[in-house]
Amino acid sequence: MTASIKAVLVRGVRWYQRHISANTPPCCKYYPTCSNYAIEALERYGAFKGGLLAVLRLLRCRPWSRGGIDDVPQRYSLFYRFSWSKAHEEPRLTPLATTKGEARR
Amino acid sequence: MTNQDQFLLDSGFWGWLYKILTPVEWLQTWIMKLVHDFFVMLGLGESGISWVIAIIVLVMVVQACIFPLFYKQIKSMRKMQALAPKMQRIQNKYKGKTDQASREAQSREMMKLYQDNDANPAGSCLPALIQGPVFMSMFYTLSAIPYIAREKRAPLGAFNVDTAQSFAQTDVFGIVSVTDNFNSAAMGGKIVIGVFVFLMCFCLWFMQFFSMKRNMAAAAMNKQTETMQKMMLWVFPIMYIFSGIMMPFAVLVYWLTNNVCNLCRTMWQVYSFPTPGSPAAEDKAKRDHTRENERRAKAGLPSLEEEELIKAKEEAAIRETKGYQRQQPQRKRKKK
Repeated sequence: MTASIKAVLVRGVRWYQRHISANTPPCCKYYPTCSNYAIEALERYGAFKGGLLAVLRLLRCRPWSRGGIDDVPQRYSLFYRFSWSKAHEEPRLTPLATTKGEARR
Repeated sequence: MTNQDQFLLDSGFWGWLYKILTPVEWLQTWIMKLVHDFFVMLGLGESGISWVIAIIVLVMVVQACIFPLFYKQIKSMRKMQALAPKMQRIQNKYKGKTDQASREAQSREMMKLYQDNDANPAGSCLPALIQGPVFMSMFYTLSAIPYIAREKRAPLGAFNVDTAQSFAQTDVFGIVSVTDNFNSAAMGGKIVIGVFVFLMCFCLWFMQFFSMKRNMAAAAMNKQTETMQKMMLWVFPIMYIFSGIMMPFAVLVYWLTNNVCNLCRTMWQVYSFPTPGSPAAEDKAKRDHTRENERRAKAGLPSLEEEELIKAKEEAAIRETKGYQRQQPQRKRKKK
């Protein structure tokens, strides 16, 4: 059940990327972009937990936030952006081998 | 504006949009009303030049609200320019590598650079997004007032029927009413409106001309952008002529004030934050140089040129004593 919801969500994001995002200039202040982040989060953590991460990311993508590198955390936590969190990670300059990059899609 | 009985901006998609902007319109009407009342208190006529001043003050208030955003945008642009060499280095590092992994690594590195320097290319679209609705609702309010005065439209904010009528009866210099447009005005009014439209277009033209002449880097110019710029220079002012004669005088006052404000802002920007490589930037470099020299003269320090001379002399002296050969570094012998 959850697997199918996840598939539908990922398909939705992919549809957005192909049909809406492709026609507009790139404008995200984060890397990976919100949609790529959402796909990765959904695939790694499922529809609910991953979806929550993606929503939080969208809320972070607003003026007066700094932007920059923001990967899906290796270890699931909603607070991974905070330095006191156990899941906190420094921004990585090189992609991890385990993460599915844009190349795979 | 041929239809006098129905306010056309209230129908269809635009009506819906302006309905959403109602709070902004409400605030603007109150600012106008308060400024008007203030000037009436100072002894100006109830329905006269005080309304024109109210419009002008409103434009200035709006411009003052937008200015911090504009300033922030300039700052962020400067940061981006300062980062350009570092960007170049990253681009060179990944030159000719088109595989996905290095592309990704490149974007990561660029993002890191932006983040570390608090600059972001995507962060600068906000001012434009805010400006648009504010000016739209201002335009809407000013166009709606005549209809409120004729009781064809419901009152809006501070403008009930009485206030709107007082506004609509305003005669500027005793010749032109603020609700007149070019076609409905008398001969004197036509001349005044014509002058306003001309000034408005001239401001816009001059603003573009000025930034083109002074603020364009010569290296960035090619044939195509040049023709584009030249076309822009003439197309917009001429478009304004046609819309200018359609609009009521109140809107023209707002428009002219706004254009003058924009012109001042552009001139200030070109003066203090010119694009690198442009004539304005050269002037600024010269200005900064003389200013630094003046500061040094006041502090009793040698000027920039003198300092350079002193340095050159020292170097020559060193060459005289030690020869032209650079001294080779020597290994320090470590004791074992």
